Amino acid sequence: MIKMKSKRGQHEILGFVIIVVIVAVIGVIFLGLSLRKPAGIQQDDAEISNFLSASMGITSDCVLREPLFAEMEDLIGACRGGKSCGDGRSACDVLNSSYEELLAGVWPAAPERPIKYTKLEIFYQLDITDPTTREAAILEIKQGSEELCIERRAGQQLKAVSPGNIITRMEICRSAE
Amino acid sequence: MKDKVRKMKSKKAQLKIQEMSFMLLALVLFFILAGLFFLVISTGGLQREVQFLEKQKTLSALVSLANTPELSCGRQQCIDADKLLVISERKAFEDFWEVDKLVVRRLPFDGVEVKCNAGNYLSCNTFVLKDEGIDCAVERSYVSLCRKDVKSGFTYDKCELAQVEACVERRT
Repeated sequence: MIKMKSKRGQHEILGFVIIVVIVAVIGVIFLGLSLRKPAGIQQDDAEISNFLSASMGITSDCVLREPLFAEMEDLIGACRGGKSCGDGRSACDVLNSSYEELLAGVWPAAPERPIKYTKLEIFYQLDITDPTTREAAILEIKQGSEELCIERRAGQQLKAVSPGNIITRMEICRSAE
Repeated sequence: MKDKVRKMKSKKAQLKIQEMSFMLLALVLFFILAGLFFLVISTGGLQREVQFLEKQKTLSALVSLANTPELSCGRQQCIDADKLLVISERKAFEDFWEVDKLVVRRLPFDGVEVKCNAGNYLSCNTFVLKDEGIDCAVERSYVSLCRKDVKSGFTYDKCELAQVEACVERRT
């Protein structure tokens, strides 16, 4: 009789332990999910998208069609098409140096600055919902070092170019604010 | 004897009921604590979301400001530097903007402010449309700043990167 009671007690304890373990596991999963969110990259930062959008209208020193200087937006298309400026420089070189200058002036990245790292990439993608349709980067600039990164933010700008899109994406990384 | 057994059984039952009620109480407390913990975490995220949305809203308000006919160069997110110069020199426009400060800066800005006027139009870096000189929370947005330039007899739009800075008085 005593043995049976003891067995029943053991079963009750085992059941309770199982319930506690299940609840704890669910709690840990919830906690993990909610803590993971802020650590991810903020993909639609308005300030960065705003910067990218404004940068498209900047006049470069490259003449693609006499007598007009090309805007950055035109330079991207020219670079993708392998074209050159009137003075013989490649459109990609001008695009690269113009954006390098812009980034260094507006988002300077260095270990002693609040912004530790910037990355700008421009690429063509046929279907924006399908990353496998992405072509090789037209332009990729990285400044600073990723090592001290804590808070990442990113923004992008899309331009429809039939049949796909040219995507300009920028990511910046700060130390803790 | 029978009475004794009955009393013992009754005591045991009471103990069991007590045990169960304590268990239930502990479980309810556990769930309340877990719920509170989860709520705190999710509302923390909400606050961040609110700040993010407010920033987005301010930025779009600044872009709309740049797109007003008084400033726009005719394209989206583009300011006409010639209009800017004329407007910044006219006092009548100061009350036109519903902000306490409105400044357009050419980028990159080296920290040394050179206010624009008709004399230094090409070498200056800051157009001041309105500045009440009060402590306010500044919001910034990027635009392209375009002016007419001439190259080999042809007129074209020369556009540079600029930043619109606007602010409203801090209300504490």
